[in-house]
Amino acid sequence: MPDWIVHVLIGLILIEIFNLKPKSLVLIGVLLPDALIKLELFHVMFPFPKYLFMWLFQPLHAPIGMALFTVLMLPFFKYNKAKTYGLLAVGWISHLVFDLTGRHLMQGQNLLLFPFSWVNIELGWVWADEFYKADAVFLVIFLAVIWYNECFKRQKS
Amino acid sequence: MKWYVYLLVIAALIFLMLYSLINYHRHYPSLDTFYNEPGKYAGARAENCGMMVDKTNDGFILRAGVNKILVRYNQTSLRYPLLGTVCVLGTYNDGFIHAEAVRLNDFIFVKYFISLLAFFYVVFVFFREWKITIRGFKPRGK
Repeated sequence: MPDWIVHVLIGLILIEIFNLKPKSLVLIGVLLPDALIKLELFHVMFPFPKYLFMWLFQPLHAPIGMALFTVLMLPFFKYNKAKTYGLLAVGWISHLVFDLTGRHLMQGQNLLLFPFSWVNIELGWVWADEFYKADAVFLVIFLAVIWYNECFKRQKS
Repeated sequence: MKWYVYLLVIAALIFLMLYSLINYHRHYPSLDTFYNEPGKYAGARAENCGMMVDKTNDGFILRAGVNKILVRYNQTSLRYPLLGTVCVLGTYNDGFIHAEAVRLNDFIFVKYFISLLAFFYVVFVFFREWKITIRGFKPRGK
């Protein structure tokens, strides 16, 4: 599973390419699938029931759970509901898609077809501890997109 | 949106969460599962990640959540992970895991730390674009 820097960079790249506004909705969506499932990390510091939180919140790391959870977020925003839902969805879809690059010994968190299937779907490209590789690649892509947009704007003006 | 739609969504989410919590052990038996029913899950293959708390002659002690278990892994060059965790793929046996593969997640705590930086950045951007009101978040400048 990539770190949040990569997820945020991917969100920012999408925002730049498609000129998505307000951009914070995409960025919130980008972090949503991990937000609750990461409570399991308490087990690193404390003798904590690791699997309780991991599996309780696992549905929120799947498309069906996120599609439902996003509906519950709508009343908190006094803004166009369809646009709010769409921008949050762009964020969490990008998160779930990029998580497919992860590699595990057996058990990942990409149960995309949950609750119909418990199969972990992933391409197996990057181990969790090799996060710096993805950081570097997406930082370069982000800077290239920013540079391209600036050049394009200057040419237009 | 009508109030009963939100109620239905909440009910569906609670159902999914409980379904996941009740059934995960059938597909991904954890250490908890194994400790509760050791006979049933003896020989089951699973992945467990956690802290390597001690090294022994024939492997190491893994702490995953509240449980500790001996992992038998015959590799003399095994070391402690650097600022990270260890993941083990293996089969449950009576009182230990017979490991097939071990992955040291070096510097994974660094990943968690820099993820926090990303979180603070998102919070910063969010409150630059939205203001809190009694009725919810409103875009700034409107």
